[in-house]
Amino acid sequence: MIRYVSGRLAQSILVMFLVAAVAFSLFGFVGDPIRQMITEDASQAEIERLRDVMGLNDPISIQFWRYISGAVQGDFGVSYFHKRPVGTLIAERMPATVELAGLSVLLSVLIGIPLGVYTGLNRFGRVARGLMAVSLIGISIPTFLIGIMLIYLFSVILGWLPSFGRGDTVSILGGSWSTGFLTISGLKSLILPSITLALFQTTMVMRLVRAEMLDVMRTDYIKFARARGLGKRAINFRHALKNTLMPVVTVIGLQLGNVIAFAIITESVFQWPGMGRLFLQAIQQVDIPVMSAYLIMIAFFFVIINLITDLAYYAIDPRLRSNTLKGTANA
Amino acid sequence: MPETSAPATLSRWQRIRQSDIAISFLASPVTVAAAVVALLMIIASVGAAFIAPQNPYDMGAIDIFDAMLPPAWEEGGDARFLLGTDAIGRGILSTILYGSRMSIFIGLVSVALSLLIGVSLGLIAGYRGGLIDAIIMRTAEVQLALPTILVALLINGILRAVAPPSTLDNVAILVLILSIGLSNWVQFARAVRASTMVERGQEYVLAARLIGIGQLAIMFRHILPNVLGPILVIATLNLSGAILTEATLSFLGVGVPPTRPSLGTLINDGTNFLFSGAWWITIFPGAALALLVLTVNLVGDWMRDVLNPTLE
Repeated sequence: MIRYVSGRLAQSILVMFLVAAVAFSLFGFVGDPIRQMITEDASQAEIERLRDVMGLNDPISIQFWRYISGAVQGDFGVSYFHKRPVGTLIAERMPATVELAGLSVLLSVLIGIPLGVYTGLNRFGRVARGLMAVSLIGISIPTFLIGIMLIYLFSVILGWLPSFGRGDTVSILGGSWSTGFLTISGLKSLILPSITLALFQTTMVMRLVRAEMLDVMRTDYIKFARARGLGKRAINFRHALKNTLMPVVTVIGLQLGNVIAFAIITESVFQWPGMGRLFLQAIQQVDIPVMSAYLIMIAFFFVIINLITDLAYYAIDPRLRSNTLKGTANA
Repeated sequence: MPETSAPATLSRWQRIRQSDIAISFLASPVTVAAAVVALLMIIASVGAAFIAPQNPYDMGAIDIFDAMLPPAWEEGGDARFLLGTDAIGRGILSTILYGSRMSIFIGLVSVALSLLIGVSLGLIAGYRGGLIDAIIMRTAEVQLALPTILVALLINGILRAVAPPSTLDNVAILVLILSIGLSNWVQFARAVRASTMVERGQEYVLAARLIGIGQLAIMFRHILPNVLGPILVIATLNLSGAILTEATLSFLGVGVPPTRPSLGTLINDGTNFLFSGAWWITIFPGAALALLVLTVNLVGDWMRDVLNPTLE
């Protein structure tokens, strides 16, 4: 147990170290950052002094160490484009993204699982087949297009919902978190983006639950439960659904990464002031400190999720215990 | 291609008609329709220069007075522009044809790149095993855990940082192809590695080694033809994904330069006019994109079911 956990932890730290190295090496590609910060008529002495202050004259290893130790404390340097600390920028943008992503995951679970159970149980039913066809179309229409169509329908034609921004937000937790859940306009602003973001996840969850349901319904213990004369409801929900949920929960966990990626697109469509838009602007402006910080944060997020998933597998699946370090979770 | 044992008297066309694949293909009307639509769209976009009513990139052919015309069947529409015009007077039908040419071109080239990288790495990993295998497959696992679009965005950002800003427009298409190609190789590598590990133990490989043929020659000349089975299916399924990724990146403004738009760029341009009611500038390119992806997906799904039911 200890060997497995420590092995996984060591791997995670190694991955984070490699990502940090990649993120740091990005700084080397844009040439001298000083040139973007000074005015045309700065003297050589001023440039040298600035280089000293910023530590650009130190050896690479020391600069890298300084970068890592700063990053661990949430200090990622100053954005070239916004001229403000990257840590502050991210802290400002995080609530918007977390609220959007959280609501979408909730929606996709609440809608996707019941639909998956229904289509799995009524495999050849007309409604179920219709739902499957719609879900295939849902997968084929890109996220941004769905967002645009929703905007056109609900903002332009009907004029019911706002098409951009978060609406009015309220500061809570001593001003460190701004939430859109407490105002009417904030809630209205959340509707379209969260549906856009949730749609793809919902179809994924639905198809997955359906496939798992079909698998489970073929197993012997379901046949046996039928033979014992258990009611349909007890079989479907107490025996079948329970056993489909384990892989579903795992996949939803791993899908969180997808939510983050698609949040970038959704935020771009709805001009949502979140981290995804910050990252996108950074790519367009070649704003290295923001890009590196985002890279490290995403990697950290994924490593944590994978670590939790692996450890959960270990706790649930006894086979892994005899076969240490071989059991890796595949998405 | 697996064929039923047809009598020798049948012509070649009849033999094709009676093969398992053709029978299964013709038995699925949805697949036939999807294949026809996908093929028509690809042909129309390849021949864009001959089919399109006007050349949207020839400044002499467009007239600013034609700007923002609705589709021909709506009030105020113009028969010359079936699907209406955009803000500078380009016919939407023409821009869609030229735009899908760009989308399909980038999709095909980046899938080819993924295929090249994935098949080579899969062969090497499967044949050599050991440390090289571990490194390649670990990288693949990490990358598989990350969503394609995120990997493509990250690679795109890194390449943009590497390329000098002055050359960005010229290399934008190359950057796009590289970032999509590099983010999609994993599936190819996994499939090829799995079958290479089986082939490695076969007698013909042993025989080849025995007469002193080099490792590379064994891998690429002898094993490769025997592991290509699932590749066509993966490539088809990846093509729709690559087209989608390209459209998304272009929509986000980190894709093709505005001077050579793809479907994603056209959709992005159109969103600026959505609020003035000019829906056709966005919706038609969007519909073209969705149709293209959907039909390629359907054909790919069918191929998977028929050729490699175990792939998922």
